[in-house]
Amino acid sequence: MTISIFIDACVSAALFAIIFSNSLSETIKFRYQFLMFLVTLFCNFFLIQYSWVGYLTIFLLEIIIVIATKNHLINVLASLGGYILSITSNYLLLFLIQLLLSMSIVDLYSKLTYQILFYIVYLAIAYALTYLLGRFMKKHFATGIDMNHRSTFRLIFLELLLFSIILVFNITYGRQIGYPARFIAFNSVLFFVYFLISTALLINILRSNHKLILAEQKEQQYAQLRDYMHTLEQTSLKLRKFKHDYLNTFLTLDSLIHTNPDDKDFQQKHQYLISYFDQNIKPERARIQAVDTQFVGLANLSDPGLKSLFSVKLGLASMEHMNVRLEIADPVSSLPMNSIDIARILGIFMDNAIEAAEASKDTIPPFVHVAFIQMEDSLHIVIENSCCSDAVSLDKLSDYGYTTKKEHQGYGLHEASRILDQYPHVTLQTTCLDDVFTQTLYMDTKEKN
Amino acid sequence: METIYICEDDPQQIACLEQTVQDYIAFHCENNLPKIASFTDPYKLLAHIQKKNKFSVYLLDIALNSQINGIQLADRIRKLDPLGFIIFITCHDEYMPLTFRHRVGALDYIAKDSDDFKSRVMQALQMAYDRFRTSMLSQEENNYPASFCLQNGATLHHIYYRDILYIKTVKEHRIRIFTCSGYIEYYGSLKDLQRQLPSDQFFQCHRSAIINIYAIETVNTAKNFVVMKNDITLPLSKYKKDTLIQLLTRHNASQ
Repeated sequence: MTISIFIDACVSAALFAIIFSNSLSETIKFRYQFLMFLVTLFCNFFLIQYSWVGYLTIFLLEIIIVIATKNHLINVLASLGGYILSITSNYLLLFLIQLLLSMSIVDLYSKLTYQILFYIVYLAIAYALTYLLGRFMKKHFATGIDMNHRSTFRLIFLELLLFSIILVFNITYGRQIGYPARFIAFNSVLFFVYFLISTALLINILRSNHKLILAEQKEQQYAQLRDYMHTLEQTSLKLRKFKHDYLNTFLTLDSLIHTNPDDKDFQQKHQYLISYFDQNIKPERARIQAVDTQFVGLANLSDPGLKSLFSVKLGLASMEHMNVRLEIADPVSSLPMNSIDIARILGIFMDNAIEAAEASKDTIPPFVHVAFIQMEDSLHIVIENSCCSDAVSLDKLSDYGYTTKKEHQGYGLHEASRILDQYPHVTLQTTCLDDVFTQTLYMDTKEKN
Repeated sequence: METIYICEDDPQQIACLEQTVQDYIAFHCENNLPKIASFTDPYKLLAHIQKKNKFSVYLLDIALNSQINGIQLADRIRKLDPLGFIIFITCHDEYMPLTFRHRVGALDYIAKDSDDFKSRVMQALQMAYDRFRTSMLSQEENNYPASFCLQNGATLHHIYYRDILYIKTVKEHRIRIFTCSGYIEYYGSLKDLQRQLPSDQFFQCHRSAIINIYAIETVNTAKNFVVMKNDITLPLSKYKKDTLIQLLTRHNASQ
């Protein structure tokens, strides 16, 4: 009898180790898998008489997963999903055996050959299902969860946790009453239906969430465009004022220059002309320079999202008395990246640039300079800002959670790097030299990614 | 420095620039006095360069009143005279230092309305002259530092071996080359990269990292890690430990 329990415990330990590590979005080390095996074996062999052993096992396994993986939430989710998937398929398999072979679980466990055969078939099914789940997770969530989805995923986590608890309760209770045939039939149908419904719900939630984010982005773009229009209007008002003054100055000059040398007061007028030039025209040079021609370069940028992004961010920076410059010498027509992705990356870079320049402004005159440089078959985007070289650790820069700012969480550059993963032909160069921090994106324009 | 070219659409300003350049030549150049060639039409300037020029100096205005502007002109000059010195003379509005530096590797850029315009032009000419002399010297010794070209799509990066500290994978297929001043991140494989690097200087110490053995600060063989010159710790695979130590001893012996 003990041997049978031991075999049973071994099989479930192997099963748990497989399904929990298989369904993850990242590959974990073998030693953690082995630890999972040992933990489950211990629980199922020595503590099997207690009704809370199922909860304990899952709890311990989730702790191992949190320790072994980088993206905790998504992997806990994945492993719970894998567990639910396996248990549901277990019930379905038992139900099918009941229906087709009319064997109850008692018959199945009465002969060792049947039992082993059942285990092998079931292990294969569980392995295949969790393998598929794992592949799905690796494909879509290898780099963690999109920031915007976090709250949704917490809810999904709760849902899966609840489902798992119900499953464990069910199994424990089933074991106590010896898995009667009707119980299995009922459970398998119930779980299967519940499983289908929650999968459909999950997909729907994620889809509508995605739509919501897109709508928000549109809204944001619109707001940015409005801000951009506002800056343009301000600039054109300034220009009009300047034009007015300019014409007046010309009229005065005209009258002073065209005086007859034979006039009595010629000498006087000549003197006046010189002093007028020195006092009224020379200082104008500063005013000409002050009129905002900075953002004229934006006309060369056809993407409305980027137009507004840079007008707003650079506007903010110049309000903070930073030296701001935008260089777009040639029309930038086609962007080799999705415009939302590129706006997000550049937005993150700009925020960081402005904050770094702001943070070090006491020691280094703050500046933020941006350039779009169109080469023959590539586009370079350079963002340069003043910063304190000593404050940055380049090695850790895009690590999840790394930050030099006090009340921030350091997700920005990690997010940027996550987006860049989708674009193999984009190279990112980051340098920090002599208190100048530079991010340069090199993108191919020939091939569209 | 064979010739100093000037391209500017306003004859008045050409005269002013020529005067400054002549002053410079008179005071600073001893023998092999460079010629001065001024153009209002960029195409005529380009036609003139065809006759095999090297290490010339180009003073270019941006707005040229022609089909091409100064930056595009500089692009074309670069193709004919890749080692020449380009100095942009610009108005405030056209002042684009990042673009000048990145796109054509401009030596300097001077705003026309700056108060010390003449002395700025002189300084830039002096800088070109100094660089010209040092590059002539290094050319005689034929002593170019070893480097390799990293190509990702249409983008080429020229990296000197001695600048590389270490290279590591940050994610699957995402490679980061760390230099003293920063890093370059691109999509590729460590294996392909290692093939391009000299094996006596670069060592794969772990499946996720290649190190420049000249940039190692310490090797900890007990706990299996290496510390690089910028205080970054990298893992050392225990199977590679002996090979690394052999490599380092061989280097010490040969020095």
